Amino acid sequence: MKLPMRFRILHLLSEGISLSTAEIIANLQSEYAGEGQFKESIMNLHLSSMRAVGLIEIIELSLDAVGALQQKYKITEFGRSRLSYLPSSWQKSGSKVAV
Amino acid sequence: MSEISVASRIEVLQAKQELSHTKKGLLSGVISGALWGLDGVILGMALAMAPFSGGSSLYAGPLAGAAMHDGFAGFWLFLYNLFTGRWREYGRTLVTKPGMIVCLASLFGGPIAMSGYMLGINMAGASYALAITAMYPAVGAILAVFLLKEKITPRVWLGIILCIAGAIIVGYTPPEGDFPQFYLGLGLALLATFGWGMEGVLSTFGMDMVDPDIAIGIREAASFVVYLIGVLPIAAGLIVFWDAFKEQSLYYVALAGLMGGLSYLLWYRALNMTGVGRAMALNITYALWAVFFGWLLTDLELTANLIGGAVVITVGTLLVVANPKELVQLRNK
Repeated sequence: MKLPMRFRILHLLSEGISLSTAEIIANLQSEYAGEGQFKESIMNLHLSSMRAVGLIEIIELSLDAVGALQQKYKITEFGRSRLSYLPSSWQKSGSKVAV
Repeated sequence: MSEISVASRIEVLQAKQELSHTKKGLLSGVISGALWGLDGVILGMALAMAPFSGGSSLYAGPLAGAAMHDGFAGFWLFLYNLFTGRWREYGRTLVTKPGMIVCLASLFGGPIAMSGYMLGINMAGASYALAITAMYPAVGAILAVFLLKEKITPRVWLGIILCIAGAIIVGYTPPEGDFPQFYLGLGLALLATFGWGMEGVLSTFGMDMVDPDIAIGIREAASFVVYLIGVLPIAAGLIVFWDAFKEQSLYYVALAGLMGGLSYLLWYRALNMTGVGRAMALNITYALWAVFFGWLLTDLELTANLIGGAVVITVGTLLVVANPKELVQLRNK
């Protein structure tokens, strides 16, 4: 069964690598493509909220080719503690993260 | 671009993005209060009509109205989530612990708090029950500090207290009547206060990982189901509930449910984006908005305590929303 979007983002970031919004979208494309909620604006809203409550943090800021802000997110210790709320099948599984 | 100008541009863009997020949260809280005030006025109009004004018990009409309100709100929210492509998240979320915590929040905020509120008014009188239940933002903020480690500055505390004081002034009526079960009524009003405070904290805890738009959809639907199965049969409200489908008041409740659904949607977003203390203080500004919409839509007369309370709420709100930069990190580590 697919995870709710925020659960899946947290799970993805728990796999040990920092990712930008675009990279998170690219990694989840195969699972959520076709769902109306799967778009950059909603993804950014999730990431901002998850950051405000301390589940994830920004570890790198840069500008892309057109001068837009790029942020790389990483899971925090608090975020890792919340992984216990994932269904047991997801707590053991790993997936290949593309960057 | 030099390294320094790149660094300063990054800093400016980052600050702008953070501020945009927090301002959206605060604006959501303010609009949620306004819509809740409008919702209350429209629901009040519906409850004054058949079949809600009758019923075999004193609580049957209001509780049936509350159940239908939450049912309609849940329905409108489901349509919203359907059209925004989120509907699959309902099932995915309900099988998780944070999803169940949101359901628990709906029990506290829906049937428990609302029933306690109505019984409290009946047993202890509106003056005391309204004053006690208006304190739910303080209860929510205190619980959030301990359970969620939420950061609340002294200025925001003062704003919360002023919003509560303003709501009490607006709702004040001189005590009158005989209340043989006065202390039980006070206890039930306290239960309602605790219920709404707990709803805010539990739902905010759940929304760390649950999309607020889905959390509120679940909250309203769960509340409706518990009213229908657990509350209305006890309060003899099922007859009123089914009778309402044959009356014109149904349209009023459906409209109130739409306003309530939107209000709750924005309130849950504000809880998630600005924290429990601020969102609850902004939500209780409904007392101010209810005066405005009551004056606009009904024959409510503007009295000195309505205007005085409105001014106090406005000052409190300004203190709560000042300095959105505080909201970049909502909690202590």
